[in-house]
Amino acid sequence: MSDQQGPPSSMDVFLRGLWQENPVFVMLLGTCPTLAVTNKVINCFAMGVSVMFVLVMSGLLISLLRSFIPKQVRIASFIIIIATFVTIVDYAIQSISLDLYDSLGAFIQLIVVNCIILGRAEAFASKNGPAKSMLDAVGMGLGFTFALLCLGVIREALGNGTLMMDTPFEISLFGPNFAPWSIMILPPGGFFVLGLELILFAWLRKRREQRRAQTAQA
Amino acid sequence: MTTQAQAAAAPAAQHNSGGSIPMLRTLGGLALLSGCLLSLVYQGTNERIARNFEARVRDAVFELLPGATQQKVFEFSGSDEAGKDTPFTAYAGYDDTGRLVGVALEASDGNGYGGEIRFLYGYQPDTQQVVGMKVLLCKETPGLGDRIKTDEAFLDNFKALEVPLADDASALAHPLAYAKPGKGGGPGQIEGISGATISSKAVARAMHNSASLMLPVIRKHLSELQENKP
Repeated sequence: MSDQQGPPSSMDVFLRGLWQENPVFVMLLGTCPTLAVTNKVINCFAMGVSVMFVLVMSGLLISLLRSFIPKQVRIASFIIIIATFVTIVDYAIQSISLDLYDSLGAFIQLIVVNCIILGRAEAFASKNGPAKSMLDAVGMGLGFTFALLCLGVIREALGNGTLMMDTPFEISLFGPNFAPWSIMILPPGGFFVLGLELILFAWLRKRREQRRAQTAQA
Repeated sequence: MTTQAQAAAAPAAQHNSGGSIPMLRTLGGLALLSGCLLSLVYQGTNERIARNFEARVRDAVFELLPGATQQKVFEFSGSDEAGKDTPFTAYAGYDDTGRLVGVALEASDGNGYGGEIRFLYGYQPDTQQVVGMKVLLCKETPGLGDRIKTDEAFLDNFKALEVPLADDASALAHPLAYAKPGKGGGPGQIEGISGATISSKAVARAMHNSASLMLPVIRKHLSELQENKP
């Protein structure tokens, strides 16, 4: 990668999570919530925003406190901080909509053990300043939301023939004669779509590297 | 005492980063901070969450009692199988003219596969039938146990479930019980969902306990329900 020499610029830090090191498509982290909640676009939004909130707040706090936290108890400290923000999100979603809360099920509470968040806390926020940590968190959060939406849009469109169902902005895509392909809403659909998209993203990455190698030779 | 101990431990901790005081201080401080933050957020959202739950119950009552346009909440108390006094809430639904359409009652069982299952069911006193069921709280396995919320064949059990009272109106004429999928059909039998036996059994058990506790009380207070329209 081009940013191997010297410290990465702010833009690189931000874009890395979105694309080059996308948590789902490249690092394959957090695939459990990815497979579980992506059957509706609205769930993807809510999950993505929740994870981003927890990432940003815990990243900020951890990077501010990084010199006070003794090395031996850092994981325990990170978990306390992450769990606090997850509980806040949990209350917030309950107060916004109980139906949304039900459809996300246990996966909101399970953000505590989402390896994306602990991973960023350990690998980035505990070693960098607050501004950069937040930028990294926003990038990773957007990358995660983007990946969830990539799955959710396809699964909801094929499995239910709609976009944004259960919201005021519901759009019907294929008209009344569409027979929903309900396996896409069910768990196997999640595996199919994630598998296909991993192939697609790996292929795109490989093609870009080949092109770069060709231009380097020429 | 504590301050002395801390003062004595501080230089030691500086020499040796493995000292336990800084660790305790960090974890204790973080836990305190987290506790304060959470109690603030809880107080801020508590009221709205309770309101959301009330709205959900209200919507469920209208859904369960077709034709109802107004509702009123009654508090009653009955004695359960062990003879203990148990208070419960009855949501009475009335149509436009103020006629009692039916009563929505709550049932719950703590032995579902994922913990507590709580639901409302609609009861029509004049036909002595349960006319519908709606799950309020369910932590069952997604895709298996949580089909008690959506499985049409299962919900059909509760569309016109006969729950007549015995002649002296103090108990159910026949118990409500779980039956294997496809093997039901008898009076008071609730056919389960295959693959969700534990959840279906919990629902049937909750239904039986709630009906045998509450329906005799509803019968006793029927005139009160009919006259105290909202």
